[in-house]
This record gives sequence, structure tokens and C-alpha cells, in this order.
Amino acid sequence: MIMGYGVCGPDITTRKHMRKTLDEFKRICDRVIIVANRINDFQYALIKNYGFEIYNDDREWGVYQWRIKEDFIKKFIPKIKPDYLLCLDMDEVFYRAVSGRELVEMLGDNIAGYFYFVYMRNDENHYNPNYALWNVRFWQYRPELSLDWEKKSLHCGLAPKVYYELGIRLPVIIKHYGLFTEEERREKTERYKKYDPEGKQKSTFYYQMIQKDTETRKIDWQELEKEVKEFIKNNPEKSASEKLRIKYPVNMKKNYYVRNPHGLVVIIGESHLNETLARDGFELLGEVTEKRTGVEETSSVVGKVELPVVETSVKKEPYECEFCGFVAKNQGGLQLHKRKHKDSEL
Amino acid sequence: MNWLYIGNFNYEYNTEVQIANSLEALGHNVKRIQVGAISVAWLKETIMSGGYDVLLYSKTNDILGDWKWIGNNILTVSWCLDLYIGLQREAQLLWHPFWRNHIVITPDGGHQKEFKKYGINHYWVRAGVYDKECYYGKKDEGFNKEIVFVGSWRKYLPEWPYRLKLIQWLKQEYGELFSPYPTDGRIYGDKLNSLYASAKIVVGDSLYSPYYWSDRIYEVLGRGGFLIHPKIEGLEKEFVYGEHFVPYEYGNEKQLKDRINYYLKHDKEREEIRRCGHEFVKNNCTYIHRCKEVIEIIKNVRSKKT
Repeated sequence: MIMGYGVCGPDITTRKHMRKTLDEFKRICDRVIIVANRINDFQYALIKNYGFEIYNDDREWGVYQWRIKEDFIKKFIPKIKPDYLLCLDMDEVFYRAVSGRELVEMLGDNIAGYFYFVYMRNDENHYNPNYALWNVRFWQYRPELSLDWEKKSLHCGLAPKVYYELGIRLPVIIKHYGLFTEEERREKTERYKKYDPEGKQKSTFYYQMIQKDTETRKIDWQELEKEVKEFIKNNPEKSASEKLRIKYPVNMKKNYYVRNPHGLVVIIGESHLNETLARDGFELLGEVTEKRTGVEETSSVVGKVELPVVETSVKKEPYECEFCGFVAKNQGGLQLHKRKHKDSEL
Repeated sequence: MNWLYIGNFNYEYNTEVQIANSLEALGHNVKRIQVGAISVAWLKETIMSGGYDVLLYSKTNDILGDWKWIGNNILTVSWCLDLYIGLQREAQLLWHPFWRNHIVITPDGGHQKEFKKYGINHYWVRAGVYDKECYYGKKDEGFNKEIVFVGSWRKYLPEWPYRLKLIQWLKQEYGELFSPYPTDGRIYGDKLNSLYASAKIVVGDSLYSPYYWSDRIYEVLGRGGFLIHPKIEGLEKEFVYGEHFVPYEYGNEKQLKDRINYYLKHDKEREEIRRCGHEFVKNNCTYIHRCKEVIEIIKNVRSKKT
């Protein structure tokens, strides 16, 4: 089951373009829930007309954005347990009408997919080439992965943080209308000035360029699609399981030598040192300063190598065959056994 | 039973993958959870929902926070293939949650008293080999050494300097006839079977501890290798010396050399031992067999509780 979700606000861009995005959800998804953040009656009625569910959260967007998204996802997704999720902002539309099945096939065994975003500017034939980017919009619900969000009030993404770390690029192009007209660009800039005046969440240069950068280029969609596919082919990525493996390396912390009640010197990590020393019989000897490398091979061995003597509890067997180590119960048995070796000599 | 299994499932050659597959071959349901990619909240919810009978946990560096909340909501089982008592890492027995589970399984059969002192509910289950990898490989010209050792040796446990000496001694005594493997990266799967098929003799080693031996014996024999391995107290109760593999005493250079030289020449006898060892392990010592033992342990523990 593919579930669609997005956040609908009262801004100009959303009001102008949301119908196109709702069409996309209708086309691709089996179930859709729209998060409504201070929308008007018209928007409400429009969403209902599509047969979608609405979840209201009117907290201030510019302050609580990540909480709104995280709370929504954590409330619904573990209960609904969709196989896949498609998330879109209300000003995003597929360049080519991909089906849900195509998206699933493209994603394959991977966990999340990045789409390529093209920022449309002024009309349907032009875009701003300086604002193309990749962003996660399709992910496979994995109940064992965290649903925590990137904790930023702006630019916090539309999927849980871990999916951004595990995503791979897919050859899917999205037309983004967030900076389409002058009016929309101005509204966006004003919002960023209000909620991120010092450019802590994204650089002020980005915010300035939204208004100032007037470069537009006529778009050749087929050519762009070829470029995107070429880019993916020439930049192979690690699989999700590889990324998971890299994401969780062993942490390097301080270690200490401690003598345990058996008299053995052991190494204890700093996070467990106090707890260990609180027990009877443990004595702190000092910090481990040298890197523990184990027994190193020497590049050249000086003198004859001898096997070390090892004290073991293995008993000597009186009737052991000197060739193969077979242990007979008595001398007769051993003689009988040894015939096998003599026979093989013949 | 329905199992939740936390481990490293990234590579086919990992023991967790093989154990999970073996459990499934026995008709159990296994939900694999990749360690490090887990949310404790999800784990809690899953366990509390009551859909699973056993939480199986492999020893890793990852610690999933405080496990006390598990309580008796699910039977927890730890299963690892390493020796701890007598080594520096024994200290972990004091605090690592792995050792606090309802059932703890290791291949260390020689320290039951010590485990009891630590308050660990320990059961001895020997290591094994994946049944799907118990077959004779094809000889490979790329493996042209008559005597081999397979495993780590360059930076092995500091408590066991014997390993490095063994490799150096074999190089000294046999020169070009001998090589340790892998030479780079890892060697596993069909390639490992080919290596064992191509070599005349595999020299084994295991850090000495009574009633403990590594999975090397099962891997070599199961995959069709001819093995010369040190004697360990307890080993003679599972295997027949001279029939399944050839033993030698740790540090006894003359004995080791005599036996290597003998079996380099006596092909027929060597191949007969190879065959017997392989058949024995294939029919008695795979993870299918070990999983059956673990399941029996679980059933016994559960029946004691009720």
C-alpha cells in the first residue's frame, strides 16, 4: 500500500498549486492524509472533494514545523503500516506521470528515494538552473527504523531523518512551484526573514538569491531526463545496508586497565568504569594510552621460530597412534589399528 | 516459535544469517533486525504487542540502552561463538546486557562454575557450520599451496601469541608449500570450499581453554578439508581422533611436523579421514543441529518457569 501525505498551509503557493499535487496523490496513492495547518475553508473542501483524510495541526509553522511533521508520522504510520510513503509539498508535481508501481520498482530493495527537483520560474517552459536539488520523497516504511525528524524549525525535510541518510537517487523529476512567480518568491523570502533572520537554518545568501537571482533557462525535459539518468549512472551509490553499516561505527572512547578479582588485568571502557570499580575486588591500574593492536606480525623473524609450550589439561594417552593420533583402548587395539597404516605403505 | 533476532545481517557469511536461515528451515518464523538500525521504541512496542516468543541477540558492539524494561515480556536469548572467560574481555560479563538475558549460549563448556558466579544462566552449545555450505568444493588452480591455515593471525587476541608463532613456524618449516589465508579481504562461501578442496592439509588452531574450541573445526571438516588440529580437553568426546581429523599437542613441533609430513605423502589415508570428518560434521554438527539444541534448552527453561 502506498500512502501519500503532505502539509497544506495557507500560503499563496499552496493555494495556487495544491490541486495539481492532490491530483498526483490521487493518481499514485492508495490512501492519503493531508496535514492541514491553518488552511481556509476552500482548501479544506478541496481536499475533502478528493476523498482524502485531513489531520489538523495549527501550531505555528515557522516554529513547530519539525514537530508537526514528526507528531503526524508517529501518530499514524505505526498504526497504518503502509508499505511505502509518498510525500509531496503542495507545490510539487511529477514532470512525467510515473505510477506507484514504477516508483516501487525503481526503489527496489532500497529504503528511500531522492527525486530531482527543478524550480519552475515564471512559466511552464522555464526554470532556474541554480536551484535544482535532490530531496527524499518516496520511502519504504521500516518499523525498526526511527521516525525522529531533523530538529529544525525550517528546512527539516519531509521524511524522518534516517531515511535521508539511507536514500538513493532515483530518475524522477519533480517540478517545484515554490519560487514560480514574483509574488511567491516575495512571500517565501518574508517568511524566512521572520523565522530565520540570521540564516542559521540555511544561509542568508540563499534567501537573498531567491529574489535577486533572475536567471531562467528554457527547459528541454527530455534532455534533462537524460542528464539525470546519466548522473545517477556515473555516480553509483552504496546500498542501504552498506549505508547502515557505515552509519553505526564503533565509538572510540577512553579505556582503562583494571585488575579484576581473578587477578586478571582487563580493559574497561570509560562508560563502565565507575560501575566496575564500585564492585569488590576491582582495582584501577591506569588509562590505556597505547593503541591496542593485538599481536603484530614482524616483517622478518630473527633466529629460529619455536612453537611455545602451552599448559593444557589434556591427558597423555598411552595407546595413541603416532601417525594419526587415534587412541586405542589397549595395546592390542593399537596394534590392530596400525595395520591400516602399514597396509597403506604397501 | 516466532523469533525476533537482532544481529548483523549485512553479509551472507555472517553467522546470524546462517542461524536465522537454519531456524527457518526448522519451521520457525524469524524477524531479522539489523543491529544499529533499530529504534528502542519500536522494539518495546513490538515486544509488548506479544507477537513474538523469543528475542535472540548476537553479541555486537552495539548496546541497545537499558534492557531492564524487557523484564519477562519475552524470553531473551544471547548466542555468541566466542570465548570470554580467561581473556581481557571477561570484564564485559559484569555489565554488558548480553550476559543478563534469560538464556546465554556460548561454545565455552569449561567454565560453568564461573558463569554461575557471575549470575549468568549459561548453556553450552558448540559452534557449528552452515548446512548449505557442507559440500566438497572444486579444486582451484589459484589455490596452489599444499598446506594452509585459514583465519586471522596478524592481529589476533593478545592473550594467544601461539597463533602468530604457529604461522611463522609453518612458514619456516614449509616455505612455499604453506600459506595462511585470506591473503587479502575475506574468503568465504564457495571460494572457501574450493580452497579446502585444493589444499592437502589445513592446519588448525584454537585458543586453548578446556571444553572450548572455535567453529574452525566444523567449518573445515564440513566444507571438505583435511584438518590437523591441536588437542583440547573435551574435543575427544565429540570427535574420534585419527578418524575425523588428526590431532597434535600444542607446542609439540616434532609431532606436528611428523604428522604433516605423513599426510602429505599418504593420499589414500588422508582422503579417507577427509571423507569421514566431512560426513560426521554434515550429519551431526550443522547449525540445524545446534538450533535444535537451543530450542530444547528454551523449552526446558520455559517448562521450569510454568
